[in-house]
Amino acid sequence: MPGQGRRARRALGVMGAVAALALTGCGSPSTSTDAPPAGRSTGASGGPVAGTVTVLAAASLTESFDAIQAELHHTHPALTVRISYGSSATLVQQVNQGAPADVLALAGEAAADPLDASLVRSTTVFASNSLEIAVPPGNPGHVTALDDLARPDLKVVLCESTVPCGAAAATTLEKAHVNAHVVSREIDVKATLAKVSLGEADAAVVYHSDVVAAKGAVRGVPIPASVNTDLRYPVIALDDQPGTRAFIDAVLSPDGRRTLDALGFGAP
Amino acid sequence: MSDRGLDARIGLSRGRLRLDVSLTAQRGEVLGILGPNGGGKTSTVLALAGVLPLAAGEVVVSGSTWEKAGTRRLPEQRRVGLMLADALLFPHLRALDNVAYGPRSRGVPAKPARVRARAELHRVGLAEHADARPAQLSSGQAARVALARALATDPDLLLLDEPLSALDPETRARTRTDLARRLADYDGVTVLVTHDPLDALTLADRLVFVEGGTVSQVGTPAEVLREPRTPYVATIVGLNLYAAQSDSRGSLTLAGGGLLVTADPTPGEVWATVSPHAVVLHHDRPEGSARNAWPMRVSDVTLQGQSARVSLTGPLELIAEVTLASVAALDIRAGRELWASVKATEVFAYPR
Amino acid sequence: MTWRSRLGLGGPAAVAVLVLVLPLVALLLRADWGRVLGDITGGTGVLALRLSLVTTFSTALGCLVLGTPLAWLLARSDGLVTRWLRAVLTVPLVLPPVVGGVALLMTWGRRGIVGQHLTAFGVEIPFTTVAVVIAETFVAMPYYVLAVEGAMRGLDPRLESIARTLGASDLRYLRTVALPLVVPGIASGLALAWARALGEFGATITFAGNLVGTTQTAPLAVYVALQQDPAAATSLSILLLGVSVVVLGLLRGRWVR
Repeated sequence: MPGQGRRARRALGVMGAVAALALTGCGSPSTSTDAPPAGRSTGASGGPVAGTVTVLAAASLTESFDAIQAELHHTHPALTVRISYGSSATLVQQVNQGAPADVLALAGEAAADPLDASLVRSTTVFASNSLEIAVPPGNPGHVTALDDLARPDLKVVLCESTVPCGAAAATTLEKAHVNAHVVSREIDVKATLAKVSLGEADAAVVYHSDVVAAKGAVRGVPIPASVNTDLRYPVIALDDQPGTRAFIDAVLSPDGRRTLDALGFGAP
Repeated sequence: MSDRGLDARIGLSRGRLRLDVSLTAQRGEVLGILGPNGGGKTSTVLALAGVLPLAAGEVVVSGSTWEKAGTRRLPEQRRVGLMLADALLFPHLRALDNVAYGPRSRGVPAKPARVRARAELHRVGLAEHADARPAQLSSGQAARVALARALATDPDLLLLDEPLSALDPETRARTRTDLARRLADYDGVTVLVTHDPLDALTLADRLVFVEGGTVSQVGTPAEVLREPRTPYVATIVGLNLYAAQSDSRGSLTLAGGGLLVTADPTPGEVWATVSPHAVVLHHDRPEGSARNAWPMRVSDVTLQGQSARVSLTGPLELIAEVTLASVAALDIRAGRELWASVKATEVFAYPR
Repeated sequence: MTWRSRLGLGGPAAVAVLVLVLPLVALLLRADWGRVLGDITGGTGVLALRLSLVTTFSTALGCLVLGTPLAWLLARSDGLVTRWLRAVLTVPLVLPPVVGGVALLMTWGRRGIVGQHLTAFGVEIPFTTVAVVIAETFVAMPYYVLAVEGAMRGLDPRLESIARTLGASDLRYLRTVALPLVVPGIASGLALAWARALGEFGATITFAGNLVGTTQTAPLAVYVALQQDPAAATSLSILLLGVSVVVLGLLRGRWVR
């Protein structure tokens, strides 16, 4: 009975989707409308699009993509956008293992290297980010330049080298020949910034957008472009659904650009 | 006054119990404390040991004041020995080290403390068990080690709280003998708390009954046996006791109803006792000389060895002790109606 | 046992065993055994494990020295203060460890209520191995105190009355009678506290940070490894598992039945 086999396969597919959603972690995916039932988008290109689009995005994009999601709700009221945030490496693993995603937005092009190329329909760089020294308000360590980070009286925290900001910081410090006095390598950028904002550390090397997102809890000290390590953010379409295109268009639109800009992400 | 071993008045509250008990004893004397459960016996012992503080009163032992209005010696500052129902040996120490624990705690160096402990074990007949762990001792042996331990510090006051009650009957009889022998050598005051009349009568020189927090009767065992003054004491010594009004010819009107006749009149307010052995049971109304005879109903029968205790209700409450043969012959069982009689010469009356 | 009670008890018990054991089995099944030895001996694994052993045994020692007197005082009192104190002491049990780490920063950090005064003397605790021990002690001590207090409450109070009348002060009673009798309770308290300290992650990374050789304990190393090399993380986890089985086995086999 061939019909039975197909049904069984579909049942497995649904289970895989449920498992993937559970895997994405970081709480439940946010949903912009509660209107249309699950299923693929039905609208034609050009006009408002309906259906559901599932987006996996790097955690550093949380504020920007939440805002873009809200804008999208105005232009495509019938489109349900579900965004799940996580670390770029984890998201790529999830997609490779069959998580039913339409859009993948990553922090850094290198993060996309392990991605199964056959799944990719298109890749567009939509934003960039550059490193900055984050210091506590008032800058108690009197940090003015990258060289200061080598001072033994200064406590410097970096991201762990497995985290994008950690890898980038290592590259920049190497380029500048600075042997920073590192007291800890934190497991994510939030933890890194927390050490600075609490005043336990005198300086950290993070992305400009992270400093902006910290909303005054830390101050940024610029790092010259000559030694800086820029990060380019690719948005990857995993299929050709209208909803997928609608979301990516919104990210690349002038409104999307303004939103990203306000949150500290540079032009691509 | 130099022989005065114990002079104590113990006032304290514990839960619902209000305790106010005076105790005096000469050195070498064994004071038996009896009373119903919850009446204050154990609280008395714990207060004497210094474990429970007094609210009022004082404790003076061998001329030194242990406790008095505001000043209180801690247990370890009193020359006191304590033994409880369970031997409560320190389970991780050998018998010898259990006995040596007191001397060691009081500053005796290890070697002399062990010598002393060995001697104490010898006196209770356990010299060869010095190296045994408590778990390897029988209950009777453990009790004797506990006694040796309590005496190894030369206490002026030895407190024994139901020392035999956890033992099986056979061990109990043997240990009672050992205890009596050991106490005969001891020159301090012993306070022995018990609810077993046999312990009290065989071990104590004087008995103090504590009921509801106060002393209800004090006397030598012979005095108490002869003239109990509360229902509890009467139960302990195994007598029927009645509060009565006596006329000059020996006719007693009982406070609880009923009449008794005694051959030995003591006019006025009296206690009257009848031994259960003096009660005779009959099928029918007895003929002859018995001046005390009542129709009764059997409320309960309990067997005790070769005899039976028969509880009777009728014009008065009465307990009779009869042979098993009588039980069979008279078909005695609960609910049976029969006659009881007591000779007037078996009724004793003494002033209340 | 009837078949009905065997089924009624055996069923849930079997599920309980599965819930506890299956993840461990999975860890063993999925390990790349050809790599395990290399992963363990090479790289940061050894450093992390050594740091974990040093800090967890320091924590166990701290619990023993500081927690035993506390357990003793708690066991001997039933006042209102004691009851509140006991409730407060159990809070670290339910507190998310990361929150515990933040609280530790607020206490011992540069701007912490105690730390700011230490800073004046040039003493800074965060990002040091001492901070790891403090974090581990913070989460592990309640287990120890509760276990030992329970054992001490299980002692017959009449033993103390006897010891006191024999001339022992309360300290001598504690030393010569109470402590020897609660050794099994102390051992299981140490086992619990040590195990909790060994697995500690959140408070450590929040309060002490994560630096190889100084504050990166084995669980932190596992977490970091998991992000780039899951197989190495598994190897390290297996090592951690093996060490804990050996230590707990020794501790339990010796004193705890």
